[in-house]
Amino acid sequence: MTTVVATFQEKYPNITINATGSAQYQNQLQTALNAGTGPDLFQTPSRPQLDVMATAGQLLELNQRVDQSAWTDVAKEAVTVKGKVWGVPGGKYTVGIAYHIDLFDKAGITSEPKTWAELTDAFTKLKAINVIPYSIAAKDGSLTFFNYIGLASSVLALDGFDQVVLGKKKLTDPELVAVIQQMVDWAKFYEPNFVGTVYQESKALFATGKAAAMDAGSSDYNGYHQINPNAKLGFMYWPASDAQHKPCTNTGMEFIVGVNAKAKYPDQGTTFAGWLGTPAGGQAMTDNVKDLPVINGVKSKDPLQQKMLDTPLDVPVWYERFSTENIGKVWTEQGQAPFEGKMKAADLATLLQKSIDDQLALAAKQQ
Amino acid sequence: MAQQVITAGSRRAGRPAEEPLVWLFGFLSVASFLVLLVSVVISGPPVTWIATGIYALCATGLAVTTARRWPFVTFLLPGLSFYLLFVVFPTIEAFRVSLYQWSGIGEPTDFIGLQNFKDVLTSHTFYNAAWHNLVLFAAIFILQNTVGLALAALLHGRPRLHEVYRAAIFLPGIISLVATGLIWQVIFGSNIGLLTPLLQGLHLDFLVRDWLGDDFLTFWLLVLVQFWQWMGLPMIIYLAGLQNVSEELLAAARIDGANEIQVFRHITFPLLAPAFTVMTGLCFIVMFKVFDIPFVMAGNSGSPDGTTDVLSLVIYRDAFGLGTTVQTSLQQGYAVAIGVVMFVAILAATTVQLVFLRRREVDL
Repeated sequence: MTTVVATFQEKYPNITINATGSAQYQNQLQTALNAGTGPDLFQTPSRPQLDVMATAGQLLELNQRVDQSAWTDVAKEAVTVKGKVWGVPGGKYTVGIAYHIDLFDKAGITSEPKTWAELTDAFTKLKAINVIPYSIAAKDGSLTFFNYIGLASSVLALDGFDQVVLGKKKLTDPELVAVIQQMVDWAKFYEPNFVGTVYQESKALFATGKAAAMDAGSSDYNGYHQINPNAKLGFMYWPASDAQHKPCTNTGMEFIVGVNAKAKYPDQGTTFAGWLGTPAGGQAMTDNVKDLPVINGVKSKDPLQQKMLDTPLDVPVWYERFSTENIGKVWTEQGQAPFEGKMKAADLATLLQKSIDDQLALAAKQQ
Repeated sequence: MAQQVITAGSRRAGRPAEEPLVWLFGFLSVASFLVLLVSVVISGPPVTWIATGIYALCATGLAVTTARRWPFVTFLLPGLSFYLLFVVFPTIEAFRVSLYQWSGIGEPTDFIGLQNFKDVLTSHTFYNAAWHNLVLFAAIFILQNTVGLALAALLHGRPRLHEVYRAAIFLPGIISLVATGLIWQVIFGSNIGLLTPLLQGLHLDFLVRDWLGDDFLTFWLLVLVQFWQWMGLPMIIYLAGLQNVSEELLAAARIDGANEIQVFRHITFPLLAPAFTVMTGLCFIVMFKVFDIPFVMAGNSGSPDGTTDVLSLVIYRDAFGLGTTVQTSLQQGYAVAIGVVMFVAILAATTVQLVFLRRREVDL
């Protein structure tokens, strides 16, 4: 981000941007904003929390203040609440499966699996060469959540996902219960004690080559290479349930910049935010922050990132929709039970669906 | 008669001249403090700074006018002001916030009355977590009154190097709780840990478990780590209590034919009652507020399957989210309601405990 700021300041030497951050960034920021203070510019959460910030009057409306002509439609939708623009999209992330190219070659896997059956076959071959086929962390629920939404998204496609969001399609439908069952059936290919493994441990297992594959986002590759600079990594899409469905990815907004409604220097803040939404700013973000571009005309120089952008089917990450926002919480709190044989896949699906029903009921009440 | 005249004369001299000023500054101090509280709620800087300045002036005036007759007021005011502003007032605000459906973003505006409390008191997650806090308290209570007391009794005998043992046993208590959790998380790590490779290296593979992924084991490992971190305190408190037991009493009992067990049961233990009261109360409060070690070792979710969930983790999840890469909706109003329920429950329980335990304290 420092390089992005430096690039901006070459064009606008009279505007000084101090980029800071911390592990408790979101909580510190919210406390400051609630107190009526806070920085002029900040990275906002994605929707639907962005909606709440806009309604609470913490964000400066940007409709007439920034040029949106270069933004992709998806990026524009991600920052627009009730027809008003509340942030500038800086980059997105995509989630699929990262894998070690050399381990796949060693196992004799000649093409990336496109279906669940092909992935099972690949796992079997990897297990035969004494490597953990797939690293997953069930303890904190984040990886199991992403695995679920990835595999379920390939079953649903975009239309089906919209139906789920509206409550018209249920997660208890048999083809979606089958997603959870498939994850449980693959347990023999996960690392030992995966129920007690946390995300960081899972990441370390994969990065060091002890595991051949794990679910990963575009932002994770930097971290893998920090742990193991020699890792040769590939990216594949979530495999589809069968050949009639398409492999897919899930994408979310990684970076949205908002301007504080009570900014001390709103014009300067708006200038920087607006610049990020231009091809020059978008290219600086893609080259340096390694987020996927959300500005038309901006290309990624990384072939892996380009592959992510060329996905056959892209479904939003489920927590960027109000009704499916709490699916992750269910996976975190209850998601270990099916793997331990303490809960059937259908029962977990019922809990997941309940989280959607509760959110829909809340939305109806608030209207 | 002269004495009466002098006494009557003193009365006729009237109250000290500054007393009206004391009343005035007292009233102004209370009023300006209330204005400060209101400004904190409905406004922000610079209004709150101005209100603070006005209160400080009034309080200074009160301190000056009471300096002669009640000098303790000067010493009391700063601490009391701080306590009221940063402890009592936020507690009252918490009660207010718990009556709202509030995500934590912006001001609470959606008043829902006692709905949050109804949701808390009908929540399986709440009772599950509260049960774990209760079991944790019971386990630590038993351990501190057996192991802790035994260690204190051993050290009371002043064996060789007793200062070294005392320091070594107390040392975990001064390590940061987060560091403690991280150390033990590394030791018990499922794949990249210390205990599992050690057991495997010693050909004790049959003992290897998923230490932090087993429904039964994970919780009891947390208890063990919590006690390891805690045991220095009961040991020190009981040691101090033992050192206050009169040697003459013990000698007299022994002369009368009491054996060591009888001496401990009828003399030493009753005289340790004040220490026992303190430790029981502290243990209850700490174990119901426990957060750091479960958060670091077992994660934010109380996993696996909620078997390590405690009330503070439930509050954290609802107030601040999962703390992972997954975003969820925030419910700070609900989280605060859990905190209020916890506050009332802990207050009631410790009050009953203190009343009951104080009765059995023996005065020398």
